[in-house]
Amino acid sequence: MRKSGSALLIVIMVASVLMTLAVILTRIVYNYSVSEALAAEREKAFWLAEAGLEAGKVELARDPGWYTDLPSGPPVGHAGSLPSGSYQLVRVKDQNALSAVGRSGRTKVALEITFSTGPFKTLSWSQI
Amino acid sequence: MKRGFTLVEMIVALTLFSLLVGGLFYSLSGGLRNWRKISRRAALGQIRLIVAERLCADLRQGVVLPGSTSSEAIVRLDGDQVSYQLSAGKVKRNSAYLTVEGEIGRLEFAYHGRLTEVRLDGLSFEVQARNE
Repeated sequence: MRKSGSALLIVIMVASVLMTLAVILTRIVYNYSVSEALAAEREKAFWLAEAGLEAGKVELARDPGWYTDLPSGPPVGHAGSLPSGSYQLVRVKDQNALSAVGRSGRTKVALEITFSTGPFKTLSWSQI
Repeated sequence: MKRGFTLVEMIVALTLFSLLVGGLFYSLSGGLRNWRKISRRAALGQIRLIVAERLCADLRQGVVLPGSTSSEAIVRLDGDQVSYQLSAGKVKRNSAYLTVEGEIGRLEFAYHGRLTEVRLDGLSFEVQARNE
């Protein structure tokens, strides 16, 4: 024997399941979209940081004593920009390390190389 | 004693059910469309990365020749001459195409002393050519 209103109850139960599935799917697509957008920004920031290092290498090849900051105080660095964002380049005086931070949107990527001079040679490369 | 559902119950239930199923299909198809769009963008990002790395490697090891322009970079590489340009919507390295039409929409070069600036769609970077 069925009571009045039970069809509505079944529909509401099925609908709840379907709505839950729809919400889950929307959430998955949204997360994928956000992570993809972040990956694209990270890629841009990475290449900007690389561009910063390249600019630093040019300066160091020209003048091995070139620096952007003194050992005391917070590093200010040398700023550069490209159409996709900007970079900040830091070489502390007398230290054989060059670091660059690439910025695209709110994403940052920092890279560092160590080097020897005369002639300029890159010894190590790392992402920090 | 009543058996089954009343007509009003069935009408209300079917109306609600069809509205919900319609909404669900709309949401599903929109989600799938977005998924495809994002996947395509991710795949294009990978292609762009491959082209950027190839270009970067060639520029680093080569010597940028004076005939280079904003639309074409000509590099001397181990005695060979290599040129990069966007031709018919495709990235062309000498006579070979690295991409198919529509994958890369922009490839431009700018030269600042020893640094070559590359603009590849939304990506921009600088590479120090060997230029000895």
